[in-house]
Amino acid sequence: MHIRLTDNLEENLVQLQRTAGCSDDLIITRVTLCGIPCALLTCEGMVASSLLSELVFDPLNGLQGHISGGGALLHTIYNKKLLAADASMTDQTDALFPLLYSGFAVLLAEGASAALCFGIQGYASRSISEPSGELNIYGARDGFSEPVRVNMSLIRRRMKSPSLTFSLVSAGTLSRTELCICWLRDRVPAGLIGEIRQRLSTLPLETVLSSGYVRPFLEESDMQLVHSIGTTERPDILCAKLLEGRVGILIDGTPHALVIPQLFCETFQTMDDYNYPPAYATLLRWMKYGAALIALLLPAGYLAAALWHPELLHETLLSLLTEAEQTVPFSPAAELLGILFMFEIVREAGLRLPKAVGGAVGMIGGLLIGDTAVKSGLISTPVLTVAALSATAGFVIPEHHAALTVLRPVFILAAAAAGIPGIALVGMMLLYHICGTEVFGFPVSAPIAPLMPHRLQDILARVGFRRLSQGNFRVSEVREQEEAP
Amino acid sequence: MNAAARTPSWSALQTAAVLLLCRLTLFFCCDQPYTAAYAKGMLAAALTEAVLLLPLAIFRRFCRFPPAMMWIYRVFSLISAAFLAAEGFRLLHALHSAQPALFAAMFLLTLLFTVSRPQAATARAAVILLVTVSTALLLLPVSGIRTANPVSLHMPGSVSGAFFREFRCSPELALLPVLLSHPKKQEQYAPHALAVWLIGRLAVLPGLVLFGTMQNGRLTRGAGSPFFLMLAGAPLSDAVRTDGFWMLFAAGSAVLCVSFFLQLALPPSRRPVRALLTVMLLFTGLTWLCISADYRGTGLGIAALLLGALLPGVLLPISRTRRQKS
Repeated sequence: MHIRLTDNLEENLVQLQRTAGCSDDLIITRVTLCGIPCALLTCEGMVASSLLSELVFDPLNGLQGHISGGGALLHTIYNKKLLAADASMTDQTDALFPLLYSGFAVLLAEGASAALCFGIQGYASRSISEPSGELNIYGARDGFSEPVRVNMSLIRRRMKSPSLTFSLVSAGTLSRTELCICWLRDRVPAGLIGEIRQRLSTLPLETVLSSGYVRPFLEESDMQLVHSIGTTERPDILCAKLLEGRVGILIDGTPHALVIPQLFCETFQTMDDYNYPPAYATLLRWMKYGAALIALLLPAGYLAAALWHPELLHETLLSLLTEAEQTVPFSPAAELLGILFMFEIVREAGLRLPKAVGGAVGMIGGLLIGDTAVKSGLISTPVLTVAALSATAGFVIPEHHAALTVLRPVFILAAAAAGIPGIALVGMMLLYHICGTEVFGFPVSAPIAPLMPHRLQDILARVGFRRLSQGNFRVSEVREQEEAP
Repeated sequence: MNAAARTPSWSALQTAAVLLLCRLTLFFCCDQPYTAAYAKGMLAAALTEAVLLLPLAIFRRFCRFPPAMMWIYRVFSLISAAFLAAEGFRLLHALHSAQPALFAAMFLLTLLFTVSRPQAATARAAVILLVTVSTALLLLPVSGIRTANPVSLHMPGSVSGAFFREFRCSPELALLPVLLSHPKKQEQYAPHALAVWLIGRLAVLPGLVLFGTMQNGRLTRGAGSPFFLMLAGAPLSDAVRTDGFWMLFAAGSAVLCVSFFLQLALPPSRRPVRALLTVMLLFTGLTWLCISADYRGTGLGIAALLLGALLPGVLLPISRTRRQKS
């Protein structure tokens, strides 16, 4: 749609209306400025009416004197009148529409083969609020909102350094969604920005409605269980990541920013870890590692011990389990898989319903169904306990919930088939999967593999800020370590 | 399979980790009773290997093998993979596993996945596995120090037998010349890798055997961690089955080492197809080995393993090269 504007105002308006399909949200206001017929185009609901009045109508109405032709009029306004900070001129309709639909006002004039666009965006959006998915106790309470420019300001407010750079690109052949790449120029690894730009420029998407649309195209594979690109709703977290030389991508219309790259170990870290005393934060971190293992391996381990390796269990425990399982009509594997499946159903039902109803569904699912199932003898109490423990532990690391949900049944089946060696085999596949996952040359298994002993102080423990700040982590070190002898 | 094409980004630690894991796999698959003589033989063998490998570290720049000779290493890698897999399955057989065929299928499925992953994944997984295992092994002496009995060190045993067994159970030694000829930063790479490898061989393994020997007195009492019962040489079916961690590690490291040897043997191009062919043939051999209880079945199983190892990994590339030449 590379159509140039002509110097005939009526022709231009007809052409633009035709291109817009006579859409009713295209508002055309006809005015005469300095004796020249003009038209001001805006999009319904995308501009702030107060700004339109103050920044556009008032100055334009104040124009006096003789101006020869529409072209001269637009140049006079563009060069001599300060209508808006974000102003540009274009003579292409394909460049004009994205601006118009982003909240720009477009001024056309008779005799001018160009249009003057000035940004007076004022669409309604959700106010900045605490992110619901990443709650913290001591951290900041503001989270990203949907408009990309608001999110840019949230980052800039925290980082006033001139080395912080924002770069706007558009993605989606139809939606032309604005994406903002942000990075610190003196910290980002060489070539990373170019690679990201290159991939974003070739996105084969018609529309970008959320971060989940873009992430698969930046990651190396579609089959990744462990994400090598993180998401965050918190500007403070994104700022911390930028400081380490990472790249953030803000997407217009979604409060989730992408962080490139994300290391596997970092998924166990929260902003609160750095607000607590180091000893407590270290304890919490190990608790999370333990919770991840419980969430993933407890059902499989229970099954392997019960079916294949009863020697591992204490005699009292073994007799308890035997007694409980004797009255149940199903095998332990079927019981476990069934309970976990039911749990996922209840969780999904509670998630999609309104909050008040969702809570009730959770209560009914968790207490009523579980209690009656045990009392009726359909499932045994130890199996229910194991499943509940595993499911609850999974909530400690919400980042891995999807992966845990997929992997848990796989481990259970492997344990049922071959006991602990079966768990080891699936575990090795998972280990290979994690170790083989890279993004833009960064292995997600760092800093354990490749081993960076001096960086384990924020993985095995959370040392104090005095020690942490002695050698600030840079993500470029991971690449350097890969190439070291 | 020159060094540049093989492992362009392997670090010295990663190479050493894979080498150590190969030895540890066979160490845990071995059901020899642990005695002080065993530890002495192991130490002597490790020292001999160190002396033999020193020239390699010094004159490594001459360790460039003509590409035509590399097929020997390929064949050797495949045989080593089959050897390791067979040892693992022999152990499984000794454990009286209820479903060996199912386990074999899972094992080969896992191999198919791991071999198809990049070699860097093997290197990184080796480091993680070695760090985990080392941490766990270091904790064992702490928990068992109270029951250690130095008198057990005077149990009779053959030092020479242990010495030669060490060489027999170290197939990775023959690959060292290839593994240590790193294309980048050679000056530091080979000494680093050898140093880590030697620390593991000279300090950790004999130490474990010695400590396990000192736990012999616990056999009579039947107390403490079952892992020590295994170290002390209790029958596999009684002791080995009872230690969950040991089972996790033995199976995991066997997968890693077999994958490593297969990746070393198979050219990177069309690796998934070759891997599929290889594992299917290996599957036949291993299943045969598992279900057979006589010499004929075992022989056929080994023959199938060798065939499976040689056909896709070596003979196909050779025939392709001949076609290209003609």
